[in-house]
Parts: sequence; structure tokens; C-alpha cells
Amino acid sequence: MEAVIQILAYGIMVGSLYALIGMGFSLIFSVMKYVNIAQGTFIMFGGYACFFLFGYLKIDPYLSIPPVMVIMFFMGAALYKLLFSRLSDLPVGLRLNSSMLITFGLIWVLDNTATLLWTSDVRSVTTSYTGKVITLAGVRLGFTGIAGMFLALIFVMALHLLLTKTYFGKAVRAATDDAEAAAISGINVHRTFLISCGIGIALAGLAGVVIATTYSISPSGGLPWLLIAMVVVVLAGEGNVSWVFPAGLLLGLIEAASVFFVGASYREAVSLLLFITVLVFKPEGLFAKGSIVG
Amino acid sequence: MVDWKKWILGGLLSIGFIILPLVFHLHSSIMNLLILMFVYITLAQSFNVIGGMALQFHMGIAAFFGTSAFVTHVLWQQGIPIYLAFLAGTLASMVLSVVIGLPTLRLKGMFFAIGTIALAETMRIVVSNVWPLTIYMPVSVSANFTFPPRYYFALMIAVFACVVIAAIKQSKLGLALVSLGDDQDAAQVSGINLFKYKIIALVISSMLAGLAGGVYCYFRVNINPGYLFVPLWSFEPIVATAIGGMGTLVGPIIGSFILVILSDIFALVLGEAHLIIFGILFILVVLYYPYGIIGSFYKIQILFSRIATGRASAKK
Amino acid sequence: MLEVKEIQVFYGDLQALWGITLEVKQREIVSLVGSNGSGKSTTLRTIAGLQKPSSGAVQFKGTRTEKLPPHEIVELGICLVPEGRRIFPHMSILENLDVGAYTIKARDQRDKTLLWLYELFPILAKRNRQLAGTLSGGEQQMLAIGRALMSKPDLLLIDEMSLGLSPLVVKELSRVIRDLNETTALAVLLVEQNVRLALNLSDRGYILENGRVVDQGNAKELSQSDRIKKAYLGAEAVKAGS
Repeated sequence: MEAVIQILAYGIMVGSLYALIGMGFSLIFSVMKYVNIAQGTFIMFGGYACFFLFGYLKIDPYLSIPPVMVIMFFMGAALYKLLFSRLSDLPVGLRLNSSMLITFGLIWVLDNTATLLWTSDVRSVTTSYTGKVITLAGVRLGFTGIAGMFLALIFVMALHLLLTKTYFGKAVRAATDDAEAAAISGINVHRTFLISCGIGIALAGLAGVVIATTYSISPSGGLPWLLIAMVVVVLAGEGNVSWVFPAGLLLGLIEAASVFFVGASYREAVSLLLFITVLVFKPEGLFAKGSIVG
Repeated sequence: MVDWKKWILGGLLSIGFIILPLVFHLHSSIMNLLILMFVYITLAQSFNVIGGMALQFHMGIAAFFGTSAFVTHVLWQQGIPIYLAFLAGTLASMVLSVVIGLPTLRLKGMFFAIGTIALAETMRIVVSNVWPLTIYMPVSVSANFTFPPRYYFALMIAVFACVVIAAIKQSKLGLALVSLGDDQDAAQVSGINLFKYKIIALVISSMLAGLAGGVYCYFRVNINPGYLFVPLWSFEPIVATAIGGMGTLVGPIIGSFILVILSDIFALVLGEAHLIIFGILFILVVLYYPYGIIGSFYKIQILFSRIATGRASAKK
Repeated sequence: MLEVKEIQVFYGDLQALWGITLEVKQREIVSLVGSNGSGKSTTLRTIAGLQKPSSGAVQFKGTRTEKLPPHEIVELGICLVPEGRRIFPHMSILENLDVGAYTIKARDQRDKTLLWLYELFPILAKRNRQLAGTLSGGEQQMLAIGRALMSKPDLLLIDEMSLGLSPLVVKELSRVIRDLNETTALAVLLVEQNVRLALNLSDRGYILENGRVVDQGNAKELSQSDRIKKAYLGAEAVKAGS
């Protein structure tokens, strides 16, 4: 019984971080149909921003979230303006391919810039409360992990509200469904995409802060997180930004269970295998409601 | 139609490379670079078949490369002569391609790409966990290490890879693959059995990658199993082919040259920053020269011929 | 109100429009007819801003629009009901209409416009929380027109309204459009394959062939023209002098 609670607690904790990472990626992929392979690298950059704000300015990592997210938002906007927007005239198939190649090149540029500037050392943010453990219902959970979970939940909810309750959110969802139809309804699609891209990268930055405090960061440490983002998005189904949240939790729970049974070193392999299984048997995603005629 | 010009040029180039070490005494570092370049050429052509022509972005060629290199090494270590071992290794990766190809080739576009990355990464994680230590060949082998056999073996395989590509391009298979890449739905509607051709392309691709793996194993002698599956082996061929020109014969060769030789020179001059420059170069090529260096060359050729015959496009 | 002057449009290397000139005056209903591939849809898309002409001009209420992005053209008062409806399938009817009122000037009047629209198309009111993707063809067309009307346009562009719809539904939609034109001074430029429908509904018409205007005039006169009869009603009809 205690094992079940342990798995649940760990799964939800990790799963909410996965959901957060997935949402950032999904905002770019599902909305604009661009594959941002460099999402993991941006997560690392967010972590570095947090790390240096803490190291040089002694800003507590959780307080550094607003400035980090602002910085990352502008990076995302730049990403759109400089790179993605140049692909907007291409048909969807070429868009996916080209965006994959370009962001793949971007990884080279960014990862190596990071290595050049900050060395390839592995870093993490250690504060006074880093090692603290909270015991809930007999289960021991790391403080930073719980804090990360709450942050992820708050921002995922905020994003959901943004998408459903605001005019901007409707513009995003409209552009996701049909960008041309959105344009002729009066929506400035380019600006909508620009902001969405900014938000997507800002969320990556937030994830970076959480990861810097609970795990560790390094210039080339982005790939595993990218894969998680992709797994979560595939589980949720293409075009479903809101469903990324339960998909992330599901992945977290499955991983927690597998760690319990198979051990931690195969953790990544399990999620990847799940991913491949879903891709093969239900490629439209676990939560997709099938195609809707329109 | 057989393009004699290409065959002659290719022949001359090959002869050039054959004679090179015989005429000049090449320093071991240069030999290393050249052999690595030949491996890259083979891998780039491997990606070229499935990714350059058929535009199915297989981003996990490391799985084939690593499998072959690993199997080759294991057999070689058991005493089996290298030329048999590497054939077995190549066969192993071809079998692997069928096993994973059957389920994954149904996927489209990005999902295929991510699926292949995921598979390669899964293999890397499993392999590095089960065999974390570097495997060494007996001292007798390392002591007898000479470059020439490795050099010529690598060159032979690279030439073979290019010949395969040239043959494909001039065959019905090549036509099918290109039309598949151009417009998958249109190709299907015109009666092409998509799946059959995708599998064929993948098997050929894995064969080439497997051969590269065998060469690499012979070249490095002592290997760390996990390292054989790192994303590098999937990604560099893609960069080489994209820069050089996807779907072209010469593109991967030029791309590999740039990636190995040029990047070494750049590294000497620019130090650490050379990879960043390369990344930027790559992005610019994809943005503005999506057909790569060779591809753009062809496009310019076509443009000139149009102008010459007075049929320049009406568009300003 | 709308003046299109000698626009040429290319799809890549392929020329689709070879110098189209037309106009829509205040309170007019004008139709563009022609066979498939004659450039009708391309003309509408260009006016809406989805295509940019390589030469020529589009002027609306005195402002040059051919270089403007689509959303600014909507702000000026032109709204396109595209071919194939193109409603947002994963959003509800109400949300679709909301998006229609995205522009600043329309957003202020959103509630008022919505009520008015519900009277026009009662079925949209009844089902307003239903996902648009689950609607029938006719309902989707109503929604598409409704969405366009939410932006309070002065000129409505309609592309192939009748495609895939039953005659009854088409009749109803035509009636709505004629009423709108008469009561609210809404000008309409419509593209239609159904020539009879188009010319019955309009004041004036243009015939397009291979990307060029080959005939134009008063709708009634046009429907009697030999060209129309031969192309659309069959050579026998011409001979029979119908």
C-alpha cells in the first residue's frame, strides 16, 4: 500500500513537470505546426539563467522565475521572428521538415555557445532548502520537487484559462484549427504565433528553473527533456494543447511505476518504449477524439 | 539514362584517393581524418536514400550503425576474421531495419522522425547500461594496427555506397523514391506501393549504415558500446546531406568533406567556436538553400538553360 | 466602393489571373461566374488579402489594399466567406462567432451583433455550444456566413456558397443574403458555379474564363447572353432560343 502511495506521489510530482514541458512544446507544434527540436536546449537556458541569477545576484530561484520567463519569452519571440516566420509560406509537410532541420541546427549553435560560455560542467542550484524532505502520508518527497509540481500546476492552469477564456486564447485556438480562416476573421496570425512562441519558450524557461533546482543542467542536457516533451505531445494527440496535462501525468505515473519495478537506470527507456507503442498502435494519440469533420 | 560524366569523374576521384597514400606519406592524423570522412560519406549516403530521396526523415541511423559495429566487434573478438564479422554485422543491422521498419514506417513526417530518434536512444540507453565498459581487442591486434588496410577498406565501402546511390538514382526504384518524397499521396494514388518502397529504402539505408559500422569497428579497434549509438551518428549524416544537397549523388560527399575536413581546419583557426559557425551555416543553408549546395547548383543550371532557350519564367 | 484594377496573380510560376478589372458599387450584389479554374476563387482570395498580386491594384473605399495583410482588410470592412466553409471545427458555434468579431470595431458591438445574428439564423442560437465540426453542411455554411457578418463588413465576399448543399438550404441562404443587402446596405461579391442562382441573386455580373474577364453587365442581360447559355445551359438551349 505504501508502495502505491509512493508511486502515485512520485508520479504526479514528476508528471506535472512533464506536462509543463509538453505544453511549451505543444504551443509551438500544435499551434503553428513547427517542430522545435531545440525545446530542450531552451529549457537548459532557462536553468542557466536561474543558476546565474542565483550565483551572482543571490536571487532565490523561485523569485527568479518572473525575470527568467520574461527573458525566455523574448528569446521565443526572436526564434519566431528570425527563423520560424520565414517558413510560413511553405506547405505543412515542408514546414515540419524544415523546422526540424532548422531547430536541429539551432541546437548546434546554442549548445556549443553554452559550452563555450559556461563550460560543459553539470550544474544545479543548491539553496538552503534543497535537501529538505517533506513527509506526507508516510511518503518522503523532496521539497523542491513539490514546489516544482505546484509551479507546473499553476502555470498549466493559467495557460488553460488563457486559451479558453480570453480573446487571445480564442485567436490561438482558431489559428491552430485553420490559420487562413483565422486571418480572414480579422486575427493577426503572425502576431498570435509570435506571442504563442514566446509563451512556449517562457514555459520552457520555467521548466528549466524547476529542473535546475531538482535535477541538474548542462549544455547538452536538453535532449532527454525534448524527448519527454515529444512523448507527452504524442500521447495527448496532435492539436490538443489542453490534453497535454493529463498526458504528462500519465507518463509520470507510468515512469514512477517502472522505476519501482525495473529500477531507475531504465527510466528513460521505459518512456521511450511507451512512446513507440502509442505511435504504432494509436498514432492519433491516447486522448484524441478521432477526427472531426470540418 | 546513364550519366557517363559522373561515372568518369567518380572513377577519377576514387583513383585519386587510392593513389594518395601511396604517393604521399600521410601523417596519422590526416589518415584518421580521411578514414572518418569515408565513414561519414557512407553514413550520409545511407541517410540520403531514405531521407534525401524519399524524404522520410530517419533520425536514428545510429541504431543501424551501432548494431553493426557492435556485432562486428563481438564476432571479431571471438576470433572470426574481420571481413566475415563485418558482413554479419551489416546483416544484423539489415534485419533490425526490417524489424523496426515494419511498425514505424506507417508513421508520417514528424512522428516517424521522433519515433526513430526514440528507438535509437532506447537502444543507446539499454546498451550502455548492459555493457558500460569499453571492450578491448587482444593486444596482438592493437599492436599490429596499420592504417593502409583501414584506409582502403573505408574507401572501398564509401565508393560502394556512392555506386549504390548512383545505381538507385538511375533505376525505377529511384524514381519511385523521389516521387514518394515529392508528394506521398500523389505517389500512392498513381499506384506506387508506398510501403514496399519505404521498406526497401530502409533496408538499403541500414545496409550502408551497417557497412559504415563495420568499417568504424575495424578502424577504432577498441570501442565503447554505448558510444556507438550516440545521436552524433544519426545527426551528422543528416547535416552533411542537407548541406551538400538532399537526394543528390555528390551532395553527401561534399557535405561529409565539409563536416570532417573543413570543420577540422575551422577548428584550428576558430577554436571552440567553429561548431557554432557550422550550426549557423547549416541553418542558413536550410533557410535559403533548401536544396543544399549541389541542389542549388542544379537549380542555377536549370535557370540558365531556361534563359538560354528563351523560356525564362514569366514571373519577375 | 471596391475597385479591382488589372491584377495579375501567380501561383509560383503559374499565372492564374491575367489582368482582372472589376468593381462593386455601394449596395450592389455582384457575381463572378465561370467554369472551374477560371480564376474566380483566386480573385476573391486576392481581394481578401490571402494572395498578393504581382501587379495591379485593389482599392476599397479609397484605400489601396492589395499589399495589406488579411486581418487589416477585415478591419477596413471586407470579409470573406471562404470556399469549403472553413469554420473552426474544435470550437463551439459561439466561439466561432466570437472569433468573427475579433477586430476592435466589431468587438465593441459583439453582443448586439450576436443577438441580431441569432434572429437571422435561429439554429445557431439553439446549438450555440455545439462543436462546429459536428454540424451539417448547411449549418456550417450558415455559421461561416454568420462568422463573417460578426465583423460588421461593408462588403461580403462569398466563395461557392452552394457547393454540397441541398437546393432548399441554398434557397434559404440566398433569401437571407438578399434581405441583408436590401435592409442593411451590405454589398456582396459572390463567386458561384451555379450560374442561374448567381445571376438571379445579383444586380450585375462578370464572366471569367482562364483568368480573364470575358464579359460583364447587368445580371439579367448576362443570363440571356449566348456565352452563358452555351457554356452552362448547353448548346441545345441556345439553338432552342430559350
